[in-house]
Amino acid sequence: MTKDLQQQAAFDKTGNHEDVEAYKKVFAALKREPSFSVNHSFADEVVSLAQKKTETYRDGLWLGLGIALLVIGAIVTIVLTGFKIELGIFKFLSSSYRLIIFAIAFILALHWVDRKMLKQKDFFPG
Amino acid sequence: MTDDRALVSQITNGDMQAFRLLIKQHERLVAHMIGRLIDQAEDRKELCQDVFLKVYEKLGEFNFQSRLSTWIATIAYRHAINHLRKRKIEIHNIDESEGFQNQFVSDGNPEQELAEKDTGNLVMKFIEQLPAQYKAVLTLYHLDGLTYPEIGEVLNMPEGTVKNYLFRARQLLKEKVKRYFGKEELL
Repeated sequence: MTKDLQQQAAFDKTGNHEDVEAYKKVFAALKREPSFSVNHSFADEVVSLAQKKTETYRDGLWLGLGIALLVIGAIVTIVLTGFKIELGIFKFLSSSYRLIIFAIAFILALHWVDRKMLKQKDFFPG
Repeated sequence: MTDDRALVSQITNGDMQAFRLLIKQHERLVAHMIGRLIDQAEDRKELCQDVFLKVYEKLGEFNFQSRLSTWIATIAYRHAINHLRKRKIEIHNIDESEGFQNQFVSDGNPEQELAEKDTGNLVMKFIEQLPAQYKAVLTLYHLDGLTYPEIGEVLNMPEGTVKNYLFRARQLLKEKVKRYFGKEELL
């Protein structure tokens, strides 16, 4: 009889022979592995997922950096060339900036909804 | 602990072979915890993956105040509990009342279930019916060999409570075994 089993039976005030036999069954079952186990290639799958996650993060970082550089470039260009929003399409755009903001917000919202729906589809296939 | 330090340092420096080794070393521990706490077979593998991805993400914050396995078991336990909450699956909290204990012991039909030839399998079924904290304590102690203080750290409870839960969980199982198998079969 193991030390744990002896201790348990000793602390159990109702402990008698029947209890000890029942405890033996309980302790034997507690040592058994549950039916669920991960497959042989589990570690490889997780490593691959972690690598993908790192790559996605890196891609996002580059995208952010690219956008930031683009904005800085645009500002520098405007300052250096003394560009003014007075010509043709730019004149139209400057007068309807609310429409442009709405269009950008709408497109972003559409992408967000699309992403959400795609994720749910992945989660509940079929 | 020294091995843990070397392994963590290799992984944080981008060594994916070291991460693979970490997974191999701890996959049983994580599978035990997820397998015991989560009943939905289709969710288990994904949850185990999520646990290790979290480990990978947070490894830089690991401060070596405990063993790496204790830290990973903590992440696995919290992940399982969060999953149960998210899915709105009832987490049976520990109820010290006699009502709960009597109900646990008297639930089920011995005549029907004794068709199960393997007594070990039947006791495993009883374990599945226990509240989550009892299952976690039993698993960490009996399958993964964690000490009382380590289990207390994983489940965020004092050592005394761990001992108490361990004792009560085994006692409940014993009572249920007695009810199912009867005096004649046990003696």
